[in-house]
Parts: sequence; structure tokens; C-alpha cells
Amino acid sequence: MHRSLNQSSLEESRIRRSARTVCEFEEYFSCDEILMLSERTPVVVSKEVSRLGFLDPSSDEENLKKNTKLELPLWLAKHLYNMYCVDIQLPEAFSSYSVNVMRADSSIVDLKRLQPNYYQVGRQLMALLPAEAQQISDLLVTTYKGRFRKIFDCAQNADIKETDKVTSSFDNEERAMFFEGQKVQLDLQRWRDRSQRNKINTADLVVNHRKRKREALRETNSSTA
Amino acid sequence: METQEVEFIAENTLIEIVPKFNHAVIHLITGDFGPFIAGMPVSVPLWAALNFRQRQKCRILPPAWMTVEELEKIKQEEKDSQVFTRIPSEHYREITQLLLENATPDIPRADEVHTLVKDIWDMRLAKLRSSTDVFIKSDEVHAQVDHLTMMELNTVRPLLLTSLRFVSRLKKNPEEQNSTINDSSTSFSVSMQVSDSEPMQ
Amino acid sequence: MSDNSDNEVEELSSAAQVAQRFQEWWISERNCPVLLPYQGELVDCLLDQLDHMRQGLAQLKASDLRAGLHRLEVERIQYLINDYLRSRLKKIHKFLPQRPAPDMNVLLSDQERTFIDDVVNATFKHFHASALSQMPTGMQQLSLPERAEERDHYVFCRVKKAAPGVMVDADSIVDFDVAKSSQSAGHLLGSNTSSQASTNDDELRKKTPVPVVLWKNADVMRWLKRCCADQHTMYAHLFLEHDITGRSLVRMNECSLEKMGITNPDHKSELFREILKLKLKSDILEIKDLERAGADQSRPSSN
Repeated sequence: MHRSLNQSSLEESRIRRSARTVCEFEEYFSCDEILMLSERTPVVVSKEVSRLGFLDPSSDEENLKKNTKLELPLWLAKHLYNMYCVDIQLPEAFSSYSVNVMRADSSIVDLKRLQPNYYQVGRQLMALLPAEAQQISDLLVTTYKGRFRKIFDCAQNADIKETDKVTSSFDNEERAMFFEGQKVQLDLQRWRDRSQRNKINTADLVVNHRKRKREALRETNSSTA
Repeated sequence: METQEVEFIAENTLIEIVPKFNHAVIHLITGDFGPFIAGMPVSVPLWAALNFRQRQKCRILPPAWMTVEELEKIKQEEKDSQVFTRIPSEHYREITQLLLENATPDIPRADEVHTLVKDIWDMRLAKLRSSTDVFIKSDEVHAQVDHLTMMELNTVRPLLLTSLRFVSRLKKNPEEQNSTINDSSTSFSVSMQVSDSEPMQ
Repeated sequence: MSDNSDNEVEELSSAAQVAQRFQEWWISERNCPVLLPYQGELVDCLLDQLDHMRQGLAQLKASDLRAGLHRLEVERIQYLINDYLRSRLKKIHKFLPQRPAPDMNVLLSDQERTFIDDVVNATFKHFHASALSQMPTGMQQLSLPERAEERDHYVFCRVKKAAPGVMVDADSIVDFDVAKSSQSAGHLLGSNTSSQASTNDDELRKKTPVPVVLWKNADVMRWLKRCCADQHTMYAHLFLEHDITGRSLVRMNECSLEKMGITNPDHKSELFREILKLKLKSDILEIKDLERAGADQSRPSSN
């Protein structure tokens, strides 16, 4: 495998593809990003690659044939793309049907079911498909703008018991933002209710105990009297 | 910032008290206060006033804007105007809460004051909420937010600023990272020569 | 920067003003996503004051009125200082275990610099001992990716000094006018500079845009795509071929456009109009800069 990759890189040595996506520092060590990179995307093999045949579960050959369609995880697809071995295609979450749904009204889409790492995968795809990068970027922005109001309103009405129900259609990044907004609201509520909370109240047990004691005392007094 | 920290900053505002004791001028790091003469109003920072009040050594005079009439006027202005109006104190919410917690007998008609302040707060937040939505939907990078208090800004700060940054990151195209201009997302030039009171656009 | 803060402490004639100014820096530091210059003089001055106060308190009898008040105040100021240092440390932690960029070093205090050195050395020693020494020779270096500077943060800021014509973005010029902001004019802007605090303003973030003459070819392409999209689709290759940088752009006229290969007269005039607008904008900015520099010289410190 090492030898064949050297050959292909020699051929195209003039223009180097560097689909190393916007890797800001915090994302290098981020577990979420590493997990996200295992999402799959369909690819089409663009040239025969020797000894990578095991990637295609349906073929028995040693070499990966040209024009095979595969689904590969993003981290693998990225490296093969850099070596000109594959061409990336849009996964289902970004197909034209989904795009139309998003453009119509993005706030009703259940992103968690469709693609829980929607925005991050989208950004990775922007680097892998430079021809369509602008469209993907516009799509992500339109989707987010449509859903922002919903996230904002949900975060303002912070009832911590209902969080799971309310965020059931959010993607992972939207959830993170929702929690930030909710945290502020809970903080505000706690501050507002502080005056009630700081008063030391007699526990119910004690009050009842006292009442019962008083009753018992009255009874004994009346019985003796 | 947390709510408690905004309250901390609010506690530095000056407020009038009527001490029940006599004392010479007190030289604090943050200024000189006094002399304290029983029965004569004197101005001290709010944290000192609360401390005195809790020890029953003074009576706090509520600030000029904390009367039912003034607050009703402010509430009416807020209701009538589409934008944020000017309020007399930067920390109206925190001061009201602190005074009502610690010095309730000093404030006339405390319940009504409490309700009015709460109403004003709710109205302003509702306006803020719709403004933020409009701001995110538009492509502008800059908005003028006159007359918003620290506490209100603090409520929306995390979500709004994170969302704006998120949107600008989504717009950044990875291949254009080599240029030296920073990314612009405005599709029309923005010169916000706005008059005294305008909401975020 | 240090000269400016020296001037600041000199003009602050009382401890009260120092405390006030420090509180403003604390608020800015808490709310700014990136590191701001370290206010060493203010911190030292306040710590001195606190020391004096504590010594005085020890001698005071329990005449509880003054003692309680002083103690409260000391605790409050101590909290401010602690929180200031804490939030700076939090920001420093964001870029560990790498070293900060060299231009960030001026923002740090000496103790912070020593701290960073210690942590970086310890981390790499740990990496080496636990994993890298087991790797084959030749792979024992850990190269972390370049940390791109955080430029795209949004902040709320309060205008303290009028600064007309601040460019918050390549396209939009905004006037910060203090006359309208007697109470507060908080601007929500995309702040593309880390810590260019102007001389008297700690809360005003000013962005220094790249002047047109320093634009590279990629910048010119971006500008072209942004302002005249259809010309971009038609003539982008010409701009690329002739490698038009910012310098050539400002020196262009209609003849040079024709020589490049743009023959259609409507397109040519439209393109030329856009170029003139760009030149005008950058000239305005330059004039304003010069005016401001002149004004600053004649009035060293206002406010």
C-alpha cells in the first residue's frame, strides 16, 4: 500500500490537494470531533488502488477497482481524497430532497434523526467538495437561521425536567448552545428566588410533631380535669 | 458573567441613608463617606447601606425612581415605544431586589414596586428577544444596542454571541483561509447612523 | 502599552479612581473572549492599599462600625483581584499546551509567563515519558497544528470615547459617537482584533483593517466576488492570470482594464466604478487615521 500511494502522489505532484479542514486548535483534541469523523459518506473510487480491496465488502479482489461505490467514514475518506483515490459525494442528509425541505422550513426538521452532527459534517464536506462548498455553506446558514428562534425560545423557558423532550430534535451543536442559554436562565431564576430560599422554614415534620404534642397535652389535661 | 457578579457591580452604586448613629467621616479605599449624623441623610455605597440596615443602624431612602408613579410612567413609555427607552438606573433590577429583600419597611408600597419592575423587565426582554431573532436572520455584523442594562445583556449574552460566532464560522470557506482580509458577511454596507433610541437591527 | 498604563496610574489621583478603573478592566476581561493587556500597575497599587488596610484593621479595636465596613470592602476588592487573575488564567489554559504567539507575550505578566513555561515543559515531558519514548525513533516529536488566531468573536462593548469611522468589517464603517451614549451605547460587533485596546479606552475594541495596497491576489479575488459577482464569473481568470494585487488595483484605469482583456464597455465602466469606490473608501480611512493621530498628539489624554 505504501508503494502504490507513492506512485499516485508522484503523478499529481504539481497541485497538492489539502483537504485538511478548518482545524482550529480546540478541535484537534476534541472527543466530539473525533467521534463525528466516523460518520459515513458515499464515495466513488476514481482510480484503481492496489491492495485496498478489503474496503469493499462485496468484492473479493485484492485491489480496489475504479468506479466502485462505497460508504466510508469521513476520516478515511479525507485521506483517500488527499491522495486522489476517491471522489466524495453528498450523503443523504445533504441530498437535494433534504435541501429543499430545509429551504422550505428548517425549524420542523428532526435533525437528531437525520444527522446528529449536521453542522460539523457539513463543514467537513465543504472542504472535500470545493465546487459545492458555497452551496453547502449557504444551506447550513439558512438551516441555522431558521432554527435559531426555536432554540432561543426553548432556552428562555427553562424547565429542567423537560429538557430532553424539548431538545429531542436538536443536533449536537444546537444542544450545546441550548444548554448555554438555559444555564443563564436557571441562574437568573435561582437569584430571583433566593430571598424565599434563604429563609429558614420549620420542617413539616417538626410542625406536625408540635401540633400532635399539643393535642396530646390538651387531652391529658381535659381527662385529668 | 453570572447574575451574582452583575449584582456585585450594582452594589457599588451610591444610595441615600438616614443613619441612627453619629460617627466621623469613614475613609474607605473607594472613597470617603460621612460624617454620619443621626437623622441627616448621607450617601454611601449600596453594600455599606445594606450592612448598616441589617444591623438596624439606619433607614434606607429609596432612590428617586423607585416610586409607584415614576415606575408607572416608565412602564408606559416602554409600552408605547418600539425601541428601548432610557431607564433612570443601570441596575434597576438588582437594586430593587436587594432593597426589597433587606429593607422592605423602608419602601412605600413595596409589592406594587416589585410588580412594576418585573413588568418593565418582561417587556424589555420580549423586545430583546425579537430583536435578536431579526439580527441573526439578517447578515449584519454590527448592531447598536442603546439603553440596555448590564443584566439584560447578560441574559442573552451566551446564546446570542455563540450563535453569531457559529454563523460566521459556517460562512467561512476553508479554501479562502490564505487571504488577509477578514470575512465579511454583509451583503450591503452598514452605516448605522442611528438616532438616540433604536433597537438592534 | 506599558507607557500608556504608566500614564493611567499617574492621572489617577486617588485610590478610589484606581479601584474604579480596575473594576472596569475586570468587567472587560470577564466579557472578552481573548486576553487583554495585563494591568500590573493597577493590581500592584490595589494590593498595596489592601495591605495597609489590613494592618490598620489589626490595630483597630472592635469598634465594630468601622471595622466591619473596612473588612467588607477589603474582601470585595480582594475578590475582584482574584477573579481578574482567575479569568486570565482560564484564557491562558485555552491555548496550552502550546506556547502563545510571540505578540501575545506583551499581554502577559511575568508570573503568567513563568507559569506557561512550567506547564508546557511539564506537559511535553509527560507526553514523552508516557507515550512518545515508546515510539520508533523519527516519530518521537508531537507536532500540534498551528493555532489559528481567534478573530471572529462577537462582543458587546460600551463606547467611552468617540471614534468616528471605525471599520468593523471590510465593508462597513461605523461611527462611534459618544454624544448619543450618555447612558450607554453598547455595540454588538464582530470583533476581528484580539486586544487592540485604544489608549484611553479599555472597552472599545477597534479593528485595524488591511489597507488596500497590501492586499494579495486572493484578497482581490474575494473583493471581486463580493462586489461584482457577474464580473467575477466572467473575468476572474483574467485577474488571476495577471496576478492583480492591491497595489496594481489602485493604479488601474480604464485603459489597463482594456489591456487585461475586458473589452465590453459596460462591464469595463462598472468594474472601474467599483475600483474607484474602493479607492475612495481606503482614502477616507487614511485621512481619518491621520486626523486622529494629529488630534491625539495635540491632546495627550482626555476623558
